[in-house]
Amino acid sequence: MTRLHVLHVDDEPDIREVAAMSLDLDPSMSLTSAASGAEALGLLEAGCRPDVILLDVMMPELDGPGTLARLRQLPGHEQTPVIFMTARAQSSELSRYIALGAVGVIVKPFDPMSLAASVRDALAGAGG
Amino acid sequence: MEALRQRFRERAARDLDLLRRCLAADDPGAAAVETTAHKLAGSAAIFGFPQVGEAARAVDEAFAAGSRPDRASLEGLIARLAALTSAGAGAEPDSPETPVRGAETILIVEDDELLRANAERALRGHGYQVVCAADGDEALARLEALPPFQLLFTDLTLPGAVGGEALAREILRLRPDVRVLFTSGRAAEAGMGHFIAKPWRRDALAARVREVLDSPPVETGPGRP
Repeated sequence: MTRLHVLHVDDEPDIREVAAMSLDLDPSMSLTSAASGAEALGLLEAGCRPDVILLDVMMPELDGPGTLARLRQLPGHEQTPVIFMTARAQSSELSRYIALGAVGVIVKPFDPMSLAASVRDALAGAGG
Repeated sequence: MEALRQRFRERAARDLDLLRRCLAADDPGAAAVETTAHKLAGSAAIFGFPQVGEAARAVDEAFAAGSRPDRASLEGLIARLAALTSAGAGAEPDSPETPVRGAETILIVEDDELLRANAERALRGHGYQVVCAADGDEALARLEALPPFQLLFTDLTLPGAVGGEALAREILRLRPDVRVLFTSGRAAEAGMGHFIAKPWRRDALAARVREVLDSPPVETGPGRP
């Protein structure tokens, strides 16, 4: 199984902790966490090269879509796959996130036991 | 996970206080209500409080639709949080719903090791006996040796010569009373027979398995009427 470096961005510390526990179930995944869009952009600017970014939609100050728009301006991240995470699963919302350039959406609450599989499924669906 | 549950309870107390203030100010459409309900809708069930999550979702959906929640929705969420935070350390007023149980034997066919283990754990936790195979070839090769099973739970996309549909057809030919539940991460396949989309939650899988086991033996295979 291909190794995957995941950058998970969520302002809720407990969600970051659950995601870390979840992705740790898959030994082929490694994780970097960020507590805000600004922190994630700082990591990317400092050379962090994730294979995929899990990005919470609703965050204070810089939200998920805003973070995505900013990271697309960073050299080397024009194509980095982004998966949005959101509690809003209405089809209009999901379509909007895909139109913004996300390769997939993981709906919260996610099942901690299958988060890693959901990430791989989203990437596979995007041809990654 | 218990430490996270406890932290969630502490956070719930803070959220409760904020929501009560917004209700008292007759401002159920406040931005703080939207943020709080949205975050609770996405997290409560992860920590084992699905009823708080559902009450929060009712409030969040109003904001998602571009309107503001009514007082009754907000009061419903406040009542759920109040029940949670007023409970003693040992009480579980909002513990996960009573699981749907069974004692039948389930054959799980799934090539993803983590998902297979997850399904096995989910179904064993609900009382079922479980046998597993990693793909259709293995399932057919071991069919004679397997104990009688009442439900086949299989991924539609399997490596090897025998995919999920072909496996189901062959098993139904030999054992027409077996029920079949398909799963896949591809939404386009959701129209086929009994189906549960990946990623599934463990309680949802158990509920779906019970439902399919209780269904008539016809209408189980893909393409059947």
